[in-house]
Amino acid sequence: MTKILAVRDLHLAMRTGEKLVPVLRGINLNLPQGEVHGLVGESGAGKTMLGRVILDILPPNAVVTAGHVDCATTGSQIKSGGRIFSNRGRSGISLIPQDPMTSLNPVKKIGKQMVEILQLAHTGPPRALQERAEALLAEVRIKKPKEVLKQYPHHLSGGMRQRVLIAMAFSSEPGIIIADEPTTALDVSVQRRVLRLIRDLQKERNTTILFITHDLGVVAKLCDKVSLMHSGMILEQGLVSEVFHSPSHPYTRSLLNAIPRYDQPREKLAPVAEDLQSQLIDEARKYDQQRQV
Amino acid sequence: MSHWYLINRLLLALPTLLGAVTITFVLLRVVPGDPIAMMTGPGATEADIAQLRAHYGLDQSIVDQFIIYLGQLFTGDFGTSISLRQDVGELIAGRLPVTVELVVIAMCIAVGFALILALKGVYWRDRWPERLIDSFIGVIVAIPDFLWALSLILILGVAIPVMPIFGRMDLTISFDSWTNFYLIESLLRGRFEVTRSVLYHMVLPAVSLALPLMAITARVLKSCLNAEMNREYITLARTRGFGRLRIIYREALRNALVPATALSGVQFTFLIGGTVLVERIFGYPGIGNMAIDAVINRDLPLIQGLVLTFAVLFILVNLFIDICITLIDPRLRYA
Ligand SMILES: Nc1ncnc2c1ncn2[C@@H]1O[C@H](COP(=O)(O)OP(=O)(O)O)[C@@H](O)[C@H]1O
Ligand SMILES: [Mg+2]
Repeated sequence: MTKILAVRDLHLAMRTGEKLVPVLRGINLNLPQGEVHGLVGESGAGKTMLGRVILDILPPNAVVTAGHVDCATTGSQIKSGGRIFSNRGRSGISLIPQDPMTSLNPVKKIGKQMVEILQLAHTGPPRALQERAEALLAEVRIKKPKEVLKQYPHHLSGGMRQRVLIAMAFSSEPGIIIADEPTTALDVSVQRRVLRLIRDLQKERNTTILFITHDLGVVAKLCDKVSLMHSGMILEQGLVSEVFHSPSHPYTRSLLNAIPRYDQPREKLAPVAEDLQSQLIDEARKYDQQRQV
Repeated sequence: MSHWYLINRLLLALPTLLGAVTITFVLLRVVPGDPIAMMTGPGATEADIAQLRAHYGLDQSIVDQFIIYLGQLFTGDFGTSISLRQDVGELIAGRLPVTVELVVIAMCIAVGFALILALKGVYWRDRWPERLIDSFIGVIVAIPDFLWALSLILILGVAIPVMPIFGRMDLTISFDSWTNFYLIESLLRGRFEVTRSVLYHMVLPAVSLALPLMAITARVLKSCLNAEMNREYITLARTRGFGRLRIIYREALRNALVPATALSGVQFTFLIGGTVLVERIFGYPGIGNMAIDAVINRDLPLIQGLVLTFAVLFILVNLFIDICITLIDPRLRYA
């Protein structure tokens, strides 16, 4: 399998005032073509920031202190290393965002937003682009694509909006998609349908997906490989089947125990222990000190 | 949005207008000062004064006077000016177009430059041009319109006399206007020398009125734009490879205009009040200037007519702003 995305020893820090606060600490990640890679970690672990480095849309106060990201995406071969991040977004990589309610421009009709995205890659009469947009909406199983194109985002439900955003993400025929907790903001019943949709589209196109989530159940169903992240470090990485059967890191074990299971009584649900949390944070701090020496 | 919305808004304005009429009417008759004494001067006899009082209805009780006045208003009769001895309605109709043209041009200047400043400021975020724009806005915002008027007169009228500083138009040009909307009428009738002269005379008063409004609007719009640039749909636009300029103009701007218009809308009504001093300073023959004369002469019917006119202008500007917001933001339509 050809390697399509490689993140090597990536260090990222956020400038807050005078200080540089480390957010990512030596991330390594290899995604071959067509792999669905789960990225799991509690909130604040740095999952979104890792996605944003790969997408090359860092916030203004973010600094890549070391490492690099190599992408060989469909459209072009872009290499970025050190400080050569342009912050313009990388072609061939799309984002499926976490919150569909705020991720569409509220003052533009869906059709207009989709045509504008299509115009980036395709030339052609507006009519043809409109039809292309309609076809894309049909592909994400929106029932009346013609009508949806004429509507504003506020006319649509959260699930519908997320479908539109998925259609937008796939519209540029990207080699890689970063899905940043794409179902967290949705109702449980909608969640399953959206997950199935993403998986089906991925299978059809053999798209590589970095699937960010804090739900191990989703990882089990959807992903080939998984990375567990805490305090900006990847603690464990491997095939889903292996990691789930024989987790090597205590953090992974405690997360797996924390999954509620219908065949076990409720009390056995073990949250991540506090001493483990503080131990992991200590480790991160030690890592920072060692790097500074 | 439908015409029902408009009708509804206009009906809601009626109580506001009635309130404005009542308050001015009572205030004017409670504060000291006698219009008849101002009119006649020291030589008049008691009998003359009494006769004039009766003529203008000032010998009756306030309540009676108010009822008569309201009755006249409903028939479109604003009364007769005491100092100018002309129909108040006609007087105001003659001067209102002068002020309306001035205010509209001032608003256009303010909005135009506010847009440029805010957009440039956001584009150059965190770099020196942004700091320059911020300081510029800070200085302009701190100085009120009448001080701008006086400073501009001193600089461009006296020190380097390049701009006219008095009146509406060159007095050597004769122009028989039918509507008193000189700007539009001269354009339509092809009298471009009139248009030129009117515009030339308008520059300083309009700029004086526009500067503080421009600064406050620019500041509000800029902070709204910056807030908008942190939103999720902007991040999405960035992942697609849209450039910064395009994202500011075609994604963020329209969204930022919604809160910015609502927030700076009030400032536009202040602009109407600003015309009183600025027109006076430039000898500009609008209703603001007329209002000062009316007050000096204690010309009660004229003052009342002018206050009512100002109140109507306030309401119309507010309505205009509400309509603008509804047009900008699709979420507010059909509500
Ligand atoms: N704009 C920002 N400025 C400073 N720190 C930030 C900013 N955004 C996120 N962070 C910090 O970066 C860390 C990782 O955040 P994030 O990637 O959003 O976590 P996750 O997506 O895993 O919940 C957090 O500790 C957060 O406090
Ligand atoms: Mg996140």
